[in-house]
Amino acid sequence: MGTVTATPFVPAEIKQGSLRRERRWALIGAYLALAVFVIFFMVPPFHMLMTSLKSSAEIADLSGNPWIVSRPTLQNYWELLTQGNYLIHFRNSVIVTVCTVIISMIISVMAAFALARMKFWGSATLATGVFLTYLVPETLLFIPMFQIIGSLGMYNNMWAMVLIFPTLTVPFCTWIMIGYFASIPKELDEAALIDGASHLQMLWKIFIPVALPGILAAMIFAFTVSWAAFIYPIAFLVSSDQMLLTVGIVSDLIRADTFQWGKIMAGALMAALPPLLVYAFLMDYYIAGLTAGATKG
Amino acid sequence: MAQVTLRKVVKAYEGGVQAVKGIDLDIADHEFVVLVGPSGCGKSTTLRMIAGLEEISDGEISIGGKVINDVPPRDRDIAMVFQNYALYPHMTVFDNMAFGLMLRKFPKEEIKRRVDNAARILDIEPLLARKPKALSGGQRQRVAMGRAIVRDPKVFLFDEPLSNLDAKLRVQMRTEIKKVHQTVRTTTVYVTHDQVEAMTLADRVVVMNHGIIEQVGPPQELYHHPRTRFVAGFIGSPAMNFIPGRLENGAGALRVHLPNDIVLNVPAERTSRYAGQAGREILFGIRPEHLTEAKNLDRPNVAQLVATPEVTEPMGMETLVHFKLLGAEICGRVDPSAPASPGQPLPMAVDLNHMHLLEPQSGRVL
Repeated sequence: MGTVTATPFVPAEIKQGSLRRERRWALIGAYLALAVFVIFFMVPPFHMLMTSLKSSAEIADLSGNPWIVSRPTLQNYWELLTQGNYLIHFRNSVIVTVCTVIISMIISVMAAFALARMKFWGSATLATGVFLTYLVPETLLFIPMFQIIGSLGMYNNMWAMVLIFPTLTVPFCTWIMIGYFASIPKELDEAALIDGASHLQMLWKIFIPVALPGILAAMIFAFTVSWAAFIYPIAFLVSSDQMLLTVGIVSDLIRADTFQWGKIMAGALMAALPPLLVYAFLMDYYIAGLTAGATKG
Repeated sequence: MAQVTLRKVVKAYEGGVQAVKGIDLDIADHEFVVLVGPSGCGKSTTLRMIAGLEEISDGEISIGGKVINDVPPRDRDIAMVFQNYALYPHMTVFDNMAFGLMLRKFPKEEIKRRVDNAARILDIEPLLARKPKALSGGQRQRVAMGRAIVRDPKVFLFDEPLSNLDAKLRVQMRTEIKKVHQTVRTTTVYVTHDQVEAMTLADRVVVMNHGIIEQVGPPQELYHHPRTRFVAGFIGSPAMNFIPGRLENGAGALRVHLPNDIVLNVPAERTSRYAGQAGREILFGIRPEHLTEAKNLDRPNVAQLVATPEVTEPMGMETLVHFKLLGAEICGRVDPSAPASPGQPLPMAVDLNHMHLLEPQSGRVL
């Protein structure tokens, strides 16, 4: 049997100001990580911007530095805006996106209100079912969707996108809204009911104003999905006057093995502006909306 | 006229759980009735059934003589104040108060007149342009009351309106609510778990437990003449003391035998009331204020016992002393000047004029 000698516990010396030092290192680490992240994600747009400002000859000249423009020109932007169908594609995208957002909001706000607040048989299952439809990938859906759109005689018609895109946006928007509506205290609708409001008045006068951050978050999502959609437009739209921006750029500016890189980059950059503006103005609402359901009942 | 009548009202949930088990209650016009009881006793469910926020499983509720079982909340002519205020956060105080009237298409001048009047009663006139988030808890509760007042409904329903406020504000708002009722005289049903609120506010208190009404009566009647052990224990703070004992007939008088060979003579005027119970186990009930330091022992029907306090709680105007009597936790109220300290024997007086005897099994007060 060995002898165990108890050693008295001596706490490590607590250094004054260690908390402040730890915080400083944490901040330095955070900024470094963010800097790497920002550089990584800003490289492609920067390269796009540089390329869009180059002439075709400068792009083709492989001896130059691809990150620097030696003779900047707005030729690509000018030609895009004055020749070809870029503006038509832009207009089509705006129309389809605005319609998609409106339709998605009308359906998902009402569906979410019903599923979150009007207790009825199977409402919980239905809410889960709505979300599950969101999990079905587009690549699986577009063949049956092709048949449906074909049978409606809407092939090669941009308005078909107004019918299709809500199938992508409504489930997730509804899910966001259910979470947001669920975070609104039940007493608020009870107070409105006693005050004399109908369900529709309650939705319009109480829920929509109170849930505005959630609704804006859902709107941004619907906008982004519709604006950036690629698979459906490329499968369903063939003539240039019906095309949306995402497809129009690659269809009109890539001919066989000829890539008009300058215009492609200019077109893509201009196409990225509307989502950028939407995010810039509504980002706070977007974050509040996405996190509300997660932190409250 | 806005009497509220409940007849055999039942609320049963899926799975057969009954939150309210066939209660009968008559609330007179202008009366302030408080439903009080512990969590899960069915008081809030009863209020919500009157409001129309819960369906009635069985029975009948009428307001002003009209059965309202199937009438939606908006057509019941009621107004409700909620525990968490339930103010519309995007509206100003004025709009919150005016919302119900706007939905009912009242003329703008009338809405303004009513809101201004309610704001004056509640002293919230300077707050009318503010949003709820810019108000304190007490101010929010006033606005919630204002929203009820402007409607001039037949019945006010209050669902634990003071529970979210701190102790000081609660006392203040309690007085406000009483003042408002004295001004507008609307029939009021008020739910609380706080028996002090119930006692101070109510014309009549309805004590509920496990979905039934234990007793209905004015606060003083409930306090001095409880019918059941539950009511005796629930009303009053600190609660009534219960000590198991035995009622014996001896030497021409009834006596209560308590643990530690304590024998108390039943007052002569109560002898006939308890005569039939002689020889049976009983619970002896006495409120803390009738268990005081030994003084004026020459009064009739005052007995003495010696207690050794385990804990003393100086409250300022009185000191609570806690001691054990054969396992039972006993509380007495003594004068702050009394020499009460833990571990030191303290002679105490039991005022038997205020004693209660209860049946241990049924809990019925004899």
